[in-house]
Amino acid sequence: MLTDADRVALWLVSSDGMLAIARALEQLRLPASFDTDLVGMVVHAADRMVARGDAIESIPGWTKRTLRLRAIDLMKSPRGRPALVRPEDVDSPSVTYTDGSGTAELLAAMDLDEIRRLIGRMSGDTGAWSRSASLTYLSVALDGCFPGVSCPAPIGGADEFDAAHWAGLHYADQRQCFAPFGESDDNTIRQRRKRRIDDVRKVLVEAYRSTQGEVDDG
Amino acid sequence: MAELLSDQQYVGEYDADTGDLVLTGTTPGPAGSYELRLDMISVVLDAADPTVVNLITVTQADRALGGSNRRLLERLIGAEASDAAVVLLGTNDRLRLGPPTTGPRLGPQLQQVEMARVLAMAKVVVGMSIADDAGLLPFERALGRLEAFHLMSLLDLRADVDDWPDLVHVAAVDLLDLTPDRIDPILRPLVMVVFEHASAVLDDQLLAARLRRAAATFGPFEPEAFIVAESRMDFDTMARGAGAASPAVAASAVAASTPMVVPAQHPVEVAIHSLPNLVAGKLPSINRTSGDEYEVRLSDWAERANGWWARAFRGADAVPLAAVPLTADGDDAVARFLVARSDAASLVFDIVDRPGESRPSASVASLRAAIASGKRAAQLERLERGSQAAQQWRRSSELHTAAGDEWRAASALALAGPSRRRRRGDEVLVNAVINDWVGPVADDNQS
Repeated sequence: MLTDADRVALWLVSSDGMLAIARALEQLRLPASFDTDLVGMVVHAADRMVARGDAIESIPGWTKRTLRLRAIDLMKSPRGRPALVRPEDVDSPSVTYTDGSGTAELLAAMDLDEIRRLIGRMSGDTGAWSRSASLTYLSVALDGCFPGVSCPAPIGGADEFDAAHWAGLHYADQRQCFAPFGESDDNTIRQRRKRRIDDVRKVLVEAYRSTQGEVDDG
Repeated sequence: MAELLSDQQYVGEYDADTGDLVLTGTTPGPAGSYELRLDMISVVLDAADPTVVNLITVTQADRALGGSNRRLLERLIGAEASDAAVVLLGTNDRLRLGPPTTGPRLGPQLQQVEMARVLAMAKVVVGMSIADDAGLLPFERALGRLEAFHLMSLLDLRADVDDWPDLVHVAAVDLLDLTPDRIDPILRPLVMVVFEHASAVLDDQLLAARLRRAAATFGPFEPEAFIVAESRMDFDTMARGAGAASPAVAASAVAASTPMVVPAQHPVEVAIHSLPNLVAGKLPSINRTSGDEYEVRLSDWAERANGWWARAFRGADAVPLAAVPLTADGDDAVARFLVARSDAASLVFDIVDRPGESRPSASVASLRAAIASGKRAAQLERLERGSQAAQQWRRSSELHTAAGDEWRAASALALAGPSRRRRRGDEVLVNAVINDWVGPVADDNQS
């Protein structure tokens, strides 16, 4: 079944759509070579509408207006936007993912670049830290990057992937997942860290499933 | 002429699909546009010369022009042009509106009061637009908005701003935390005037009284100091007079806080669409701090860059390698991240406010940077810093060329030439807005 974003994309390749794109560029005397970028911006806006659950009443009307607005945006300075929600006080419900002994095999089978692209494209105003931590996790676990001296590392009973998760949390500025320097982790900190690592695993699993063509069942 | 915008021609067009009425004036020049939205009407002015209208759009015009927006459109472009525009509703016609020929928009043939009105409206649009820019601190944004609200009040536009009482209230509250030590002494008279004006447009008398008390902490009101500041005397001279840190002192302060640096094995590219570059022409320093760890540092921008993200991509195929939040390290904004040595040969970094946003194409990145340079040039002109403005126009021209826009490249180059100053010298300029003095670009210009 077609979504509104699909309908927008289809309208943009119709003759009316092509005319509207040319008109939007011509109105601001922008080079015709900007058509691909402009279409990309409009399709992205349509995707966001769908993701929010907002319906588009008139596909031509919405698309023409959005073409005009996105073209004018190119003439303006970037606007100040509220910072993304930082997760210091927002703990997600506990979701357990079993890493198990198959992690190494799973990682070896990954199309790493494609997974990174998928993580990079994931949007949304919350959870940006978990995508950040996921990218760092891949750098440590798969590329063999060595974290800097200020990065905390697990001691005793931890496997190599735990260290990668710790690095992910550290570079994503999840300081509340670690005890202050010179102090020991208490149970609250350990539980918080575990929940955050589960969130990161969730991002990685979603990205991995997408590369395998599986439908995300949410 | 009683309208708020200059007398010029438009091509009017109604779009039955969107229901919008679009009045196209001139094409945005090399500095792009400033935009102000009043109720259902958007006014887009040319950033290189904000007395020129690029575009006026009435959203859902059938409905909007049946009410108060009709009166607003008349105030903006005059009754005759407004009536002609309304005729277009429901048709597929395009119509030329406005005076039959395009003569000088502003000049000695216009009454002083008419000129003042158009310039004040231009200043409102410039001020409100800049106050919305990325990178402003909350108090800077509040100063910009309140300066514009005061002018809008004088222009009798209060009723045309949705939620006027709330917007003014929120901005005023943001100002209450501002203390004089955050403002260059030479600029305090300007800030004080904004406080005074803000207290006059507030409906909440208690808050107005608090603002007036806060204004008093910026020193005794000295009209002469204000006039001197507002007369746009050379900013460098003022800064030196106020005891600004010399470059040598600033350099030593930076050196003291520099972390251990491992020499980078390869040159690192910072994408030109990075926010600090777009809002202030500022680039971060990037250092390798251990084998695989890199550090991005924006000196003195801990507050401005709050909520921004640094991202690293492999240069060859744009695969994202890291996306980390910028955090405060003293006064600096800092992000550290890991990149494998095998990827270090062609790294590209950028700084954005949404880590999931896609990277623009090279052409769009160049266009954004070109528009940003043009806006800085326009700002420097408002501050009467002609030679620096010319530099920025030339930079804008180069970037427009890189974007494949030869028309704007040539326009920017023309604005960099000496003829620009001679021509402008005969015209009436829009005064600097408060965020030209107090904001990220002003910071950068002092260095």
